[in-house]
Amino acid sequence: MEKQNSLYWNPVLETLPREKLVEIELKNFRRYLRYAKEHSAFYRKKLKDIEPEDIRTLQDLKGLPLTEKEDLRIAQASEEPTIYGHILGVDPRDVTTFRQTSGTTGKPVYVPESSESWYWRVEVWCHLLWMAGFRETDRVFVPFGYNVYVAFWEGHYAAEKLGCEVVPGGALDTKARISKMLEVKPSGLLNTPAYGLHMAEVANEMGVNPRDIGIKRMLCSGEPMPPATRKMLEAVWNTEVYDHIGGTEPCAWAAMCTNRSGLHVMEPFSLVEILDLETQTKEVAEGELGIAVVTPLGRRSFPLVRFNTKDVVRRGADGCPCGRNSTIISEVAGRSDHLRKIRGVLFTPVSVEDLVRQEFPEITEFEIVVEKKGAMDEITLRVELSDKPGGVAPAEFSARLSERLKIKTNLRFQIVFASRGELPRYTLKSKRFKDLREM
Amino acid sequence: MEDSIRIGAWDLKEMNAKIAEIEMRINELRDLGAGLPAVEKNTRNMLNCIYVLKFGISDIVDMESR
Repeated sequence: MEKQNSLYWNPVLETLPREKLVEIELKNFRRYLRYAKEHSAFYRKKLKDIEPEDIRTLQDLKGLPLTEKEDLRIAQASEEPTIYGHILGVDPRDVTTFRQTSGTTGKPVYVPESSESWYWRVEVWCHLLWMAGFRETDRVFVPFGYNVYVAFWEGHYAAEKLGCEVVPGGALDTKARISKMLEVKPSGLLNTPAYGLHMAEVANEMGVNPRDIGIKRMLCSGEPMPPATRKMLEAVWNTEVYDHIGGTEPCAWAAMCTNRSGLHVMEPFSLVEILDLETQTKEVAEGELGIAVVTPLGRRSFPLVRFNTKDVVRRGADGCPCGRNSTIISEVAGRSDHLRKIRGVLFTPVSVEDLVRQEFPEITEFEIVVEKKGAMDEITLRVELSDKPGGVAPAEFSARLSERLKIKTNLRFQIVFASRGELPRYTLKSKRFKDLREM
Repeated sequence: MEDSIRIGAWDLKEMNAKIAEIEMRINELRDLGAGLPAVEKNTRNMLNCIYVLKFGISDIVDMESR
């Protein structure tokens, strides 16, 4: 008999003791490495001197090279023997779906999926949705046309597999999506943080309070979600909001349980290393920031060994009241390609979003611009205010915001007010950070 | 070697044996239906489910059986 109220999707796997999880991951890593070397010309060449059987401990992994996104781009540039380059790990005839990365950081990477690899990805997402409390009683609305981007396809298929009723909300504008939600009364929503806030704004303009729609849980994808943004989404939608982290290349690799304090690494589906920011050669200690390097241990159509996600995350403390023994990510701080030195200070845009969402609810949209003015870097925060800025004079508001930003980031910002509707709204990945020094 | 590997209420060794048996039967069915797309494609999808089940169940048994 199915136990629909079970806390776990696969209790035998999720509650394995930590040392067993590591053991199974190492065994699966060796198996995956063998597979990659046998089936992918890219890895046959890249790892020609590596013997899978030599990998006995997590430390042994550190002798293997990282796979960078740029490596994948270069491998695909020749378009030989297929558009996926030499990375492909299956017969081209076994590829059933084409996906691609968003191209935020350069030319998109093409990602082939065989049906076997797709089933594996969907299983990972079943874990993720179940962990966030999605059940067969949920009606799940997905307010996107999924196109060639993978996350919402995964969410759609996994929700179906759980037994949820899925309502695809593509090919509608935001108002029509809200109307459809009022009509079908979903209890679950898959979203991006930026679009979740935008939908709430549009709903309010329509005279609809998003809190009244009845969303019980929302799972977010697509971009880092600082805690203040998550709390804001929870407040405006009157719902539980769950975060996860992943990518088109490796699949989802960490997600929140119902305690919503940190993310669980999806072990043993992925082997995740959190390496020091400077040298990327050693694991960081608990409480430290590092770069996540991911090996998805069951994805054979597009093998990835030690993929540098460039996600900057903080290693959390072991253990969670939920009973899972997987590694905890206590914070997703952003991406290493968004980390910038500005006037000698290391800066990540996520810190600004966290402050704005937490302390300045009057700000409905914002944009960070960095420019070179003479020899100096200048950083500007352009803000768009709601209709009701609380009766505060602009000069006073600007001074308070600038002061709080200085304390949070150690940088002096210029504050510029944008008119209502002037700043762009985002549906998938937001692009609120512009470094014009690079242009 | 132990007859069973239990975690909670579940006998993993018995589940693993069933997974292996089902995989064998699916392969037999695929061979019987060779040339019939309706059999070949459906058995292929069934094998994808087996792949996922092996990841979630059989891998633990392999590890515990050593």
